[in-house]
Amino acid sequence: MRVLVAEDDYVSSLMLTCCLEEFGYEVTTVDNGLKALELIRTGEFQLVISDWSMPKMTGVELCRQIRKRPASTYTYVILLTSHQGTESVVEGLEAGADDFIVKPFQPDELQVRLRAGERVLSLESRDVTIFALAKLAESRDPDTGAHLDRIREYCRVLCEKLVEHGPYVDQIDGDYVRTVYLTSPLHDIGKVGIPDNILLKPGKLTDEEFGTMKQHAKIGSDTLDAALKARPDAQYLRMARDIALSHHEKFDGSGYPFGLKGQDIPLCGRITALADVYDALRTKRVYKPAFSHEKAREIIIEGSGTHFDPVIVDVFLQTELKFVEIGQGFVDDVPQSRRESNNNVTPVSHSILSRFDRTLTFAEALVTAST
Amino acid sequence: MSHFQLSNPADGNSAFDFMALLGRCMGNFKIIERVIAAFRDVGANDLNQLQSAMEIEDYGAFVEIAHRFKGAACNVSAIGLSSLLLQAEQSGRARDRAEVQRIMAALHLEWGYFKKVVNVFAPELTNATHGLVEQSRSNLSEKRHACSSC
Ligand SMILES: [Fe+2]
Repeated sequence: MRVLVAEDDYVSSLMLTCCLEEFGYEVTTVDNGLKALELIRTGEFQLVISDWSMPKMTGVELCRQIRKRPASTYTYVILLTSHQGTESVVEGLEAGADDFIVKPFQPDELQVRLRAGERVLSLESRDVTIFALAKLAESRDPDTGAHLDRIREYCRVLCEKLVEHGPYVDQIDGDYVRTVYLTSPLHDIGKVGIPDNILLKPGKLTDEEFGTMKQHAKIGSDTLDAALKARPDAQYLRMARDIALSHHEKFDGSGYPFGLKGQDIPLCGRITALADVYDALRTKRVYKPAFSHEKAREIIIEGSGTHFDPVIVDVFLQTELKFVEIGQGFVDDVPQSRRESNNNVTPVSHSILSRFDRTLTFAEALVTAST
Repeated sequence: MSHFQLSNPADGNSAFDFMALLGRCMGNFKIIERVIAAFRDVGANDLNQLQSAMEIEDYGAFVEIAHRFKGAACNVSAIGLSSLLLQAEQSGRARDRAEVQRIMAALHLEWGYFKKVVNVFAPELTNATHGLVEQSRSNLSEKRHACSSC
């Protein structure tokens, strides 16, 4: 594993490097906080050991900058300090440090603290598992391509703006942004429980079929709720469940499954709703062409206050260039829709694994991912 | 004082706790040699910088250098130096000129004694590393540091 050491004292840096390399880490060193921040921004370092007092940027300020930056991966920061006492610990913790080592360090203590950091970072593999599960569920739906990648990016952009100012600043922080990014790809996980002859049907669904299709919100939420019951402390499962359940609710109460209105719809659901609709509008379907950004924008503005939360529509308008960039960055590379050649659908997967079994399997996998 | 804590005859205080350094270097003599050699070069440079900062009464720089030097001294278990450097840092913060001058004189003495003591542990490196540490200091920055000899 790679470790970034930020230490202005060459001798301390050398000792740390020698010890870390003895422990099997790959070490990169810098002599001030600014250089450390630059390297952390590359996304190549998740484990950072930083001195407290350094020129240009102190270790505490480095922590603040790391935590300020919305990132898709967590950076574990250990501060080296010669300061003893609770005051400096509190200052470091407030800045976002994960752990402390008092100088001069003892190698065995260093190793134990690094292992703790690695354990925390290993939780990130959970995130990868969740995305893989979402992808697996999505793989049955032929129209989606890079939909999940775009959805979470759109959600991230909206959250990053909402965290800055506006009426929801009290509800959103860096952790919320990360969790929305992590869980929004699970919004349609309930589609795993929709029969193939409906999910893969080319063209328009009958009212009855649409009624069945609408159940994906409830199926997804029930699946995630089952996982949440097994791991009630896993906050991300709570948000994933809320998103799955509420991403088709509309601001005026005309959505499904419950016809929730306005602020009764969880904020994460309102955010995902806009991201989901924008992506659907911009994507070619068998029954519609891919709309331009301008056309999609127009439809979203029209839906402000009826379909969408007006605050989130405002934020969308402030960040629309990023939406365009994301759309260009994650292009669907799937061949022409399977749905077009699916006029004679045999619900194979549906017959192999019953709807109930399939959702249960996903719930179990999510619980496993959270342990 | 343990058998391995070597005292400065001038004041009887410990100059160097070899066993503590050995522990921090995980019993690896190669690391010890390397660290002491680095400290000898960096320390000489820091001492000169401290002297200059004192002469021009730049207490900000004085405190910063003393703090960094103290960190290095602690790491190599140079007990006498780290204790004096802590006093230097405090006196620099207080802008106490007389005390800073007194501590600087003591620091020069302690530094001389420390060098004699560490020659016992890394004699072959006494003259060999001068100039090399600055070079390796820049090599160490911003790239993977291969500590293959450790
Ligand atoms: Fe959906």
